[in-house]
Amino acid sequence: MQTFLIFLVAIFGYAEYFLFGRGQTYRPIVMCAVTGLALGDFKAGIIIGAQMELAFIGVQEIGLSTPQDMVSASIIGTAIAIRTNGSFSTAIAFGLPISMLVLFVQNLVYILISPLFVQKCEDIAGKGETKKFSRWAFWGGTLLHFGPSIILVTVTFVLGNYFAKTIMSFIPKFVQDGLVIASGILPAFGFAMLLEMIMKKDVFPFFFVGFLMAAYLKIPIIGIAFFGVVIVAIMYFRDEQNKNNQKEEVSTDEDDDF
Amino acid sequence: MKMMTSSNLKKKDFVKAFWRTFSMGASWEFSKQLGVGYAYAMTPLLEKIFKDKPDKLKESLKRNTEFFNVSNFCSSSIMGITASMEEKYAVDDDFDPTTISSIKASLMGPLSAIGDSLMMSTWRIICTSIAAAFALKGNVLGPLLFILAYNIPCTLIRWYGLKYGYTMGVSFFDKLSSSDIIGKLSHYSSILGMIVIGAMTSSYVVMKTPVSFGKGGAKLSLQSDVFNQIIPGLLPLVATFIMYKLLKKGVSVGWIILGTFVLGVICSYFHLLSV
Repeated sequence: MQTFLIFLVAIFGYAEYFLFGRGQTYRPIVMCAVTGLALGDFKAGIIIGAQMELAFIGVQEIGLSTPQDMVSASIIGTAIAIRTNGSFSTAIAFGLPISMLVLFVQNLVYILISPLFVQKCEDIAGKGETKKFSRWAFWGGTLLHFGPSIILVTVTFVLGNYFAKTIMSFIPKFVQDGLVIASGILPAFGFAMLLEMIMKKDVFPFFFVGFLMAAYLKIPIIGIAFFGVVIVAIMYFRDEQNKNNQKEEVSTDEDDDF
Repeated sequence: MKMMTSSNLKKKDFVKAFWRTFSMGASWEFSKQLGVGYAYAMTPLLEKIFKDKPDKLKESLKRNTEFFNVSNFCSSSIMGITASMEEKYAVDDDFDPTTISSIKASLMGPLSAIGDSLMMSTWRIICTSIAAAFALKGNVLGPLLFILAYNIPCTLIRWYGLKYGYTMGVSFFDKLSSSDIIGKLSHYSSILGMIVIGAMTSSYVVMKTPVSFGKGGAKLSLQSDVFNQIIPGLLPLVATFIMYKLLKKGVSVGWIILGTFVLGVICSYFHLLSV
């Protein structure tokens, strides 16, 4: 029964690409929670999801790059963590290697089979067979690109159930603690990736506005986000005013000429 | 929706195309990217536009599988614009369909600016930062808020982009780019993004050191007596910037994650950092 539920969860996860129009439901904050719900520990799933989300917050797929398969990392990681009464550190220690395997299989399909599939779709399109083309583009694409990953996740879930506890019992205490420490640091990596994406000199000081408000004033994130909105609004109106003033100056200069 | 008088397209055709945009990614492939998906989403519209012109339907469907890539929810705006052009092509034999291809290509870049940097990189992060505060406590509001806050604006853009793209044609996009709305939005939202990332660095990175100097009453704990008094969150701040520098130098994601685990185990063994 659980295996079937995980199978459904995997379909839900990869539906991000073929049904949910990149609605970001594939992210750990959603996927770990759904996995937790399926395995009967919703709360643990939500918490693990939040922690994994922060570690992966900088991972996003733009165009070509598929840096990480977050769906399988979330499902397998959360499943094993719940099974072994572990936490986020267990989830990421098991989830990451599995996700690399899944990513490898995905890339094999994309490199070896997808070009042939696309060729076939084009041929059908060229004949103007709209119904057949629609079936191929949707069902063909879905089964070819996501079927293998869905099956792989389900199989590793079954295997993980058998082996996870044994593996965990072989890992010494200080290593397990080390994993917990590392998982506390990992969000720093997530934020570093974000900085790399949006960092520009003129917006860099604002990083410290947020940092200092949280560090010294202990304002919760939601409060800081609202402060941020106010700051941006003030800046916007000042910018607009400056623009208008400049315009007025130009026009008075013209008046002086007369 | 207001229709051109000569148009075969009805609202239900647009609704069909709208739903199909959610599934564009199924046929994603390295060389053509969303090309086949774009043609798939356009099919309900093309079927109607070229109802009595099977030759042009074949040409158009095949042509629409060409390379295409833009953030998923932004694609509908381009679909709306090109649908109005395909209609011209259907009735005018002198209309050169390669114009449609070049318009498509020229719209991808600017629209990706909205899609990727504004929504995916910035708005998603603001959503995550707030949702994570709930989710870390095990509150189901976390994931729910995240899904809703991210998808409601995206879905509105998806529907109204299709609608106004079609009714206004290319002028829709001219209006958008001439007023520099996109540039301003990116600028202000990146400021908001930076504030939130700074706040998260302080709140969500967990690093504590058990190191202390001296004994008994003169004991000086590095964490509670030094760091917390002067700069709370110094360790997370330093860690974040070291990782940022590593990324800048081109160190790969896998190595940094592995390195973090190795560092964690070493610090655990020598009691430099604590759980």
